[in-house]
Amino acid sequence: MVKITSSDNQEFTISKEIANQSVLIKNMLEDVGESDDQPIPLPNVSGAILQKVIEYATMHKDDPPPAPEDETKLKTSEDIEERDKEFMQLDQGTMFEIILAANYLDMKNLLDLGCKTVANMIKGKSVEEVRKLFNIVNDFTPEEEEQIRKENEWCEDR
Amino acid sequence: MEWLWKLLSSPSETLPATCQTQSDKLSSLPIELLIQILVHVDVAQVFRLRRLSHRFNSVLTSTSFAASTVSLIEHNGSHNQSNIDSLFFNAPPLFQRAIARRCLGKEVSFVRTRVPFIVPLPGAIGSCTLLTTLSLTNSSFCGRIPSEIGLLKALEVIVFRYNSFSGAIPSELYTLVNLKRLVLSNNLLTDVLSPDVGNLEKLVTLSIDCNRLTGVLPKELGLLKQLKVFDLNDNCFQGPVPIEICGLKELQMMNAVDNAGLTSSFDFAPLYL
Repeated sequence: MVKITSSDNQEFTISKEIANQSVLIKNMLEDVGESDDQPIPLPNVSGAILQKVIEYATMHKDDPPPAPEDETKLKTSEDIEERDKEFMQLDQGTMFEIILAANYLDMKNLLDLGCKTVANMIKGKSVEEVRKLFNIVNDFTPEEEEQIRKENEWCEDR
Repeated sequence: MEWLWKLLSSPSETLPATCQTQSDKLSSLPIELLIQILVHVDVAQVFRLRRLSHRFNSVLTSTSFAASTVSLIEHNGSHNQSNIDSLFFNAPPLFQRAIARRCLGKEVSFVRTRVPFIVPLPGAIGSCTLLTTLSLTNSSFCGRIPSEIGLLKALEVIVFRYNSFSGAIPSELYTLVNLKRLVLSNNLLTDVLSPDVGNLEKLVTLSIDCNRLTGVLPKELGLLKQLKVFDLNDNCFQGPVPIEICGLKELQMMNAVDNAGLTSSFDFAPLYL
């Protein structure tokens, strides 16, 4: 078993196969040696988010290792597993925290899942709808926006 | 909670700008993560998002976004060549160069399906150095033919029929010594046909009809020993047709009608004047 602690000092004890899904933790374990009983500090991830990340890793602990050619197939954002879709049904705050955590912990599959989920939220929406959905502030002057609109004439209104 | 949400997202509220930006978690992601998200949005649609904000505009026009998208396109067999061609002609300049370097094949054939606006042919085309055929018929390109075309040393075929190219034929075009077909018909080209045209010794077809070209026909045309078709009707050429034309044994048709100022002092079967 492996002990990890979050930024707010919550301690989690997880199995090695779960821990190894994070390349960051895997490398740390290899560096410090397994006999070490000290928990691994993860100062960039809160307890609540770490909980969700462990939930994801537990769900995927029995996945077969990806075949090399699988990498090409997994690229489109449509083919997300049903259980992963359910897992990502979160408020935006948590979703982006998980993406950041996956990036920090170096968990490629979870990061990919997060990015595809956000991409799917953007797809098919107008610029105004995307702004509203993510609270993006339009910081262009009307002239600047008009200029981009002109350059974008080919892809607008489709 | 819901009332708070409404308050925060309501545009009529005059909340301090910092309060609103804090809730925009998407924009505050590091650039490499934003790119990883945006590459999954349909490549033909993603550029609309430039209009979201300065941050999105700069990410979407960055070299790294271009490189990531291009490698994804390469990775996925699903994107066909005509999509890539059409993307090339429409994307921001940095993107065009990245695509040109890595994606465009030996041929680009492009007919713009969605007119009515016209754009210049991007100079980034000069990065497609493997190109042997550049066929852009009826595609609403305007402005000068970019001088970067001179970088495409492998070009054998240029077809620019039915566009709105204007100005002089760039001198760089006369350095493309592998050209076999040069079709610039039905544009708004002006100025002269340079004596450098004599460099294009492999030319079989030279069509410059329906433009506004002027000046005298250079005697160097006599160097184009492979020439079969020379179409220059409906221009403003003047002076005598050079006698050197008679040395072109392969020539089957030279259509020079509708050039009010052209004269000829000799009989030459393929010549229509």
